[in-house]
Amino acid sequence: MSSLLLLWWTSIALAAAALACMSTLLVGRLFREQSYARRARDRDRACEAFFDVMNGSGDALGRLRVVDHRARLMGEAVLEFLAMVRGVERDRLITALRTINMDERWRRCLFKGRIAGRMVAAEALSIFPSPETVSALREALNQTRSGNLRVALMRSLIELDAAPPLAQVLQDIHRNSGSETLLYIPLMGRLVNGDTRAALRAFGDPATPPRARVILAEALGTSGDFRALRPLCAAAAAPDIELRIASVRGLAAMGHPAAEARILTALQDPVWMVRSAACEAAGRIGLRAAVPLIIIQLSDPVWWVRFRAGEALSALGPTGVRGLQAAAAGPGDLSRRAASLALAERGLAMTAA
Amino acid sequence: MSDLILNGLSVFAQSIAAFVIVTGLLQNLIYLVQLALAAAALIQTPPTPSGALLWRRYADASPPIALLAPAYNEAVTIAESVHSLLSLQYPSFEVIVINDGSSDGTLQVLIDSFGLRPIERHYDLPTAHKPIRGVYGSELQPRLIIVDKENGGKADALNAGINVSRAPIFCSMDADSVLEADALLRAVRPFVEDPERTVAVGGTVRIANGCRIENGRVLDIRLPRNLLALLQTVEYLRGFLMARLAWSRINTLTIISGAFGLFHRNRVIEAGGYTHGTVGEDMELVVKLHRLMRDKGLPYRVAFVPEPVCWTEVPEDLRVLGRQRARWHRGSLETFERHWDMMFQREYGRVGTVGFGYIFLVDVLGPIVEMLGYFLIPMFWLTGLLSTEYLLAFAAVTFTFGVVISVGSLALEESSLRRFPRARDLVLLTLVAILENFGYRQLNNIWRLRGVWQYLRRSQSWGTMTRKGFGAPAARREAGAP
Repeated sequence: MSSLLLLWWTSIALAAAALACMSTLLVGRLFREQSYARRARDRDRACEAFFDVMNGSGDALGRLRVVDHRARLMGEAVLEFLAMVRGVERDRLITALRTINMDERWRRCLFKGRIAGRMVAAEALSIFPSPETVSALREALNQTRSGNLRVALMRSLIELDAAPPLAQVLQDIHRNSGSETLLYIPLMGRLVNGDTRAALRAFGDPATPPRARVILAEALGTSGDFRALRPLCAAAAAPDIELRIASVRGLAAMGHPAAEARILTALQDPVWMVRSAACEAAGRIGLRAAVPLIIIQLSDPVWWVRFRAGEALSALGPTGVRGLQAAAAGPGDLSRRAASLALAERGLAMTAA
Repeated sequence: MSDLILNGLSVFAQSIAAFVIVTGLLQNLIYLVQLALAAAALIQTPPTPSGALLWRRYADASPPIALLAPAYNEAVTIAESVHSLLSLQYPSFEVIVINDGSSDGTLQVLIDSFGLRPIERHYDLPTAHKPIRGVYGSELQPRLIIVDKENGGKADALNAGINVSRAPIFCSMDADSVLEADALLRAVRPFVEDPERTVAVGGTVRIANGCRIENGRVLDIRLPRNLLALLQTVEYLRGFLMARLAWSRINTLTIISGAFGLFHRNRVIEAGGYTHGTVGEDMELVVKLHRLMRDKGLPYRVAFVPEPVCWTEVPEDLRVLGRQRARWHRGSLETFERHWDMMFQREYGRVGTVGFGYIFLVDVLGPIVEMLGYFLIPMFWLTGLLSTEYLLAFAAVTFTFGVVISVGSLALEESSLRRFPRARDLVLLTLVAILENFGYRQLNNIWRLRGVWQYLRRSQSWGTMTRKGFGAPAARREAGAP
């Protein structure tokens, strides 16, 4: 074939490809428009039926049955409704959905179809406490490798008071160590609240992955369980910087004055993130004994530490404010400015230096 | 002797023609690769549903965001824009409007609309900017902070916003853009799912001309009625849904639109913030982030969210559009000049080869080669060096390939996002995808050449752009590059 012919055939092929592609899209769109219209109609029907169910209308169940084959659509609509509805109306809606066997339908959806649909099914099942639901969610968790679906399944299990074993979640975090998703943090908080003893064991276990220990440290702090105090104090001196920061934050969340000695040490940590977290912790716990050390932090070379020190001192009541006022009138440029701004920001001084 | 000259001329002509053809082929090959990569990205990460589901999945884990909106002479629309920003659906955010020395009473409008009063705010000065004259806050809107500063341009205003903000992530945007209500929640996903590595996230910017917009929200998506805006619609689809999505998939994205982008605050500060004295500060920042992370040898990611998160008004006037395109091109060239040493360097990996190779081929060589092609090939034909048959065949391949690429972007939109509600919109966009090859593409090339000329003359002007405004008329600086 000559080069001229090749050029012409290429352009004909390209034009044909573009034409075919757009024709397919247009035909697909025409069909899809009908399916979109049906979907929108079904969604409206479902929502109207939800309102009727919540108002106690008797014939709403029949109308729900018309659309109950659309598991994903129903799931999305239910989740949107239940984000806004509480009390009797919520209970009525859940009962109605159970009557038309939506829970069973969603349980089946956990194992087939696209991940997006399976995620919706997993999330919708969180409102149906039953051994079958828990068992289906657990089975799906054992089968799937999709990270997002795993998080959805775990969250539903936690909401059903059937939390997966802590070890399994920690293993997930370890497996995803390349991408340390924040999605596990709220889950871990709930898990630790549910079984602090297991969390403490895992936290103290040297085999627990470092990233998991970091997440556990903050979760243990927010659990408010004082048994976590000692391990957190110990971890606040660990060589791992991330763990030190998280442990100091955990101690701040716990708010127990027994952490004083550790916070005072952390205020002198060589890593600025630890010093900044320690300032925050001292302010939250109300450690007046830390005031002299926090005043020193007002001249820290890192702005964040100076800022947190100012915040902490203003939170420490008259003793802290007096410290700030003294620093604002003192010799150091950095500390004077940090103290003045901290006072001014809280309306405690007329002007900033 | 004359034969020798003729032969020489012929060889020269053939060499030039070969260079033009090879460059064109390479560009076309890159577009095909982009199309495939974008399709793979869309298949791998399908769009998330909006509303309660998105909130349920991401709200608990979403980090705080500071929304930085530089404003310059936007008195007419600023109050509505800020109201719209304050009503975004995100668990923890603050809106920092930076009044960049406006002379039209923008600050007074803000003070009156939100009951602002001067406040003291402790902030550091890690990035350079013109002096801040005052910071204002409101008891009615605790999320709102206004920074009043001396005029210094968009980059300067954003640097001031970065300094005043305290959230770990900031969102840079144009105060006159319209954001989707769940834009932040959508765009923050890479930061939630991969917080250690993600340094920046771009979002798709769509054209708001023709859409029904009320109270800062797009209520009804419609195609523009103006031909120039329609042509830009296809262009934006190609630019965002194909090129940026593709490059983000292989972590070589070198530009995030100034109209909407999320950035890791500390990393941006480490990179030195926005650069002054360039009209392409958005591209420059992303390239600086690449350089920083590569130099440090840290794993990182510059991600892109294909779902539309931001709507912007585009020029409907040739003069204004020409100025905008010339400026965008000048911005690319300036960034290339500042960082050309990254090109093809092993330590910069794919960014150095694919990212910079692409800029070199498409932005640096592209307009010159294309213009050479338009000029020389008819010349060769006139002088008999190129036969009519070949001339027509070349033209046919060039145009049909352009159509295929545009249609491919439309296919991506239709198969995954489907934001154009009516089938006839698709038909119209297909026709526009064909039409743009006859005139608009060539015009665009002339504007880009003008950008080259301005770059060579070191022109720093931004020009002004007259916008219709979503509700009322306003004159302001041009929007960021797509």
